[in-house]
Amino acid sequence: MLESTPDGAEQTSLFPDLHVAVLRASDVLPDMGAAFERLGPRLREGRTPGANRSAIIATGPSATADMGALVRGAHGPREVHVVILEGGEVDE
Amino acid sequence: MSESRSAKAAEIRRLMRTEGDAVARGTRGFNLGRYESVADLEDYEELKDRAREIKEDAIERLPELIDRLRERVEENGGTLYVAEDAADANRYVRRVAEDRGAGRLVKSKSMTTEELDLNDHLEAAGIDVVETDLGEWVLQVADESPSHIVAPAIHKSREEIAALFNEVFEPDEPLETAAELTAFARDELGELIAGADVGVTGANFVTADTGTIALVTSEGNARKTAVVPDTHVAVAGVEKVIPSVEDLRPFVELIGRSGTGQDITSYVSLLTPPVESPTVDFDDPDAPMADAAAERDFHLVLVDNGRTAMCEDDQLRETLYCIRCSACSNSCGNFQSVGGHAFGGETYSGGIATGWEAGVEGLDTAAEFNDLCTGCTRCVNACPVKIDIPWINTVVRDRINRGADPSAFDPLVEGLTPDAEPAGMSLQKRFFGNFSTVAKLGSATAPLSNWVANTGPARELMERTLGVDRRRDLPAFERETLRKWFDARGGSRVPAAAAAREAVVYPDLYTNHVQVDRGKATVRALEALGVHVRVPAVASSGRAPLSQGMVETAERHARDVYGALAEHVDAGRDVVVVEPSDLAMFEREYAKFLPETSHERLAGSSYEAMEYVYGLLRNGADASALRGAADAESAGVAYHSHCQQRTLGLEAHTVAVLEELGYDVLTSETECCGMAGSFGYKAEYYELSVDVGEPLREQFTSPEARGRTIAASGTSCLEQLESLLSRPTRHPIQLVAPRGGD
Repeated sequence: MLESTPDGAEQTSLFPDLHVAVLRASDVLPDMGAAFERLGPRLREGRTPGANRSAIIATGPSATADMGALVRGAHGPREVHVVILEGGEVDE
Repeated sequence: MSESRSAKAAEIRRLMRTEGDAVARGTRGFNLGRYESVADLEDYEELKDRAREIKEDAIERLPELIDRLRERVEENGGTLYVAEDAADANRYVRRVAEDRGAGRLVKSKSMTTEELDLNDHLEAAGIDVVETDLGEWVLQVADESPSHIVAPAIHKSREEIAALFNEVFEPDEPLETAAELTAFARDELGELIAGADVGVTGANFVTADTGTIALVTSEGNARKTAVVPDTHVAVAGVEKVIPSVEDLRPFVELIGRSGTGQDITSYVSLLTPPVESPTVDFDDPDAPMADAAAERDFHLVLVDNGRTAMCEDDQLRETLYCIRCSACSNSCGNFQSVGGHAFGGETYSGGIATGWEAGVEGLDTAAEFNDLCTGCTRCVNACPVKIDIPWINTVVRDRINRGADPSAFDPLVEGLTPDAEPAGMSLQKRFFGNFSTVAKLGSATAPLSNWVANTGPARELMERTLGVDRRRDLPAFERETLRKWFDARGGSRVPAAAAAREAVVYPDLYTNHVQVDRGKATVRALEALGVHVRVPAVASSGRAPLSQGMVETAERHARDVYGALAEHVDAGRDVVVVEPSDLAMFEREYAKFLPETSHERLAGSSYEAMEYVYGLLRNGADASALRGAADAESAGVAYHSHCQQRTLGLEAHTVAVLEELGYDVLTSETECCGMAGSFGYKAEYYELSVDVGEPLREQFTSPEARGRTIAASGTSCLEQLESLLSRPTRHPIQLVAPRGGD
């Protein structure tokens, strides 16, 4: 889940060919139901100034089948890596 | 053939030749993907129920939700505008663009803006409009319209796109592969997006509790369109509003799976504009993005354009639940052959398009393609919001019939046809809708009727006046109907007193007059399993008139059938139906015609013939009383279930019984045989119906099918298979019934 932040985190994950996402193991959720349980309150709270109220659920590289076959790497990244940090504290 | 019929046939022929192969490849791939993808969902049915519930509730209280949404959008710093119609919406978007001094406007994919003809309107005002979805861009370059609501350029092959790009853009190296074409488009469009002043997106859903626009995409162009320019306009139909963010969940799980067979798209963007992301200055790539002042402007344009009237319309309302996933297009045999340029209106295509076009454009537009829905129901279980798409098509067909020119009144036909329909409707529809009268006359005068009907002059006359294609063999009526045969043999061979159960074999139109042998086989099979059988006089189900959109006539049949069967049901007799399309009437459409209790009683007591045999065997009947593979011409069977039988979930019962009796069963992979009752007889659709049956012909003539007995459950399927394969066909009950004198 990529939040839209004033420092441009969303664009950073969109324009380059390679996107590496780093996240805490504790932020890994079991399914879509759990994701929306978390998203609902967050986007509603987001209406207070300064909070983030937009997010992208990204599941992999951008892709298209519009040119006659499946191609990875359409308008967004061609390659996506997710690095999960197990245990320990992570600085924000 | 009449002039309008041959023009229609020619247009369908042209599209099958030029676009059919690409459409077939694309849609059949999506459709297979859907089956695989939803099979992984443990709670598929629950998700569909939940999605349906959310949409029903949202449409019910739409005005209240729009009020709440307006508050949120304004709190967020955006503007909500509800546009009454296309002109109103176009004016508003144009004003936003002009106020911004926009030279270029970029768009991500939006069917609603197609509905508005927004691009033409903006271009007329001197604004450069660029579609950034790769499929939409291909169409913009080619100056063509979408042929599919999700994959708009599905009708174009890779080779055609490469030829188009090489001609228009003259790249240094000619483009060839899909990867090269994609990279080229990405670069071209990337620059155009960077220099754009306004971005227009659609919205798959809009949540009233937060003012969030949900965009389900994979290319990433919608994200760029929304965040690169500082002005974002989202355009969506009013029906896209749902109460809360949590309500998105079932839709996000279902939309990609149902449409293109993707478990999840690359991106589900939940944008609550104006977004916090900074704008990007492409002229100064070294400046940190975070330094850019995010002065963003956001407009949400909700389009009514006929939708409020659809909310008030008890029959069309369901259309508003549609999430435009394209499952009804991909699962449709006719759509797979011709695509949305034939099976579509001004904007929308596929089965649900009839509802959209009738509501947004009007009946005339819907009338242009509504016939292409044959009512096969293969879309019904595929629809993630459980819309009864065939019913919407039937209702609209009825309205078209009623709106037809009453000056075409023909007193002779009016006097001969015992229906309740208006005078102006087409003679062809009226002929097929009153097939029960034709069948009665046909049997009464057989074999003379068959001989006369098949003479050259008769076929020519039928083609000219009724639009019955002369290339199609006509059904041959039997002189001795099933009921006559049954009475002549002295009724059931199993006395009621000695019977384990009692059943009524419903003498449907085709079993009674045409496919009489399968009726006899049903009686024998049931008796072999200890059932006391009756074959009473019962009206035809109303399927024939219903398929022509003659709803009132069909309803009259439903009441007659119920009246004749109610006493049997009350006496504890089961109702056994041979023709699956008639059983589907009892199960599905009668719910709309009969009081709830009556419908439940009849549907609850009715069984498809092989389903009933399956039930008897499960309840202890002796399978050895039936004929097994050892006593058959061939132990191999190639079986095509009936489309509506599959929708009712009854294909498996036939296969299980055949296998229990030692048959080796190959099942067909084709959704519908293409015949679909009267459809394959109609002169304007004959060639299409043969094309739809082509995959079935291929499978059943493959080495795997060689030497197998061809079996099918529906009359139409049997007729289509006989003509496609030039081989005799059987109903499965004929493979299991004991051989009998009578």
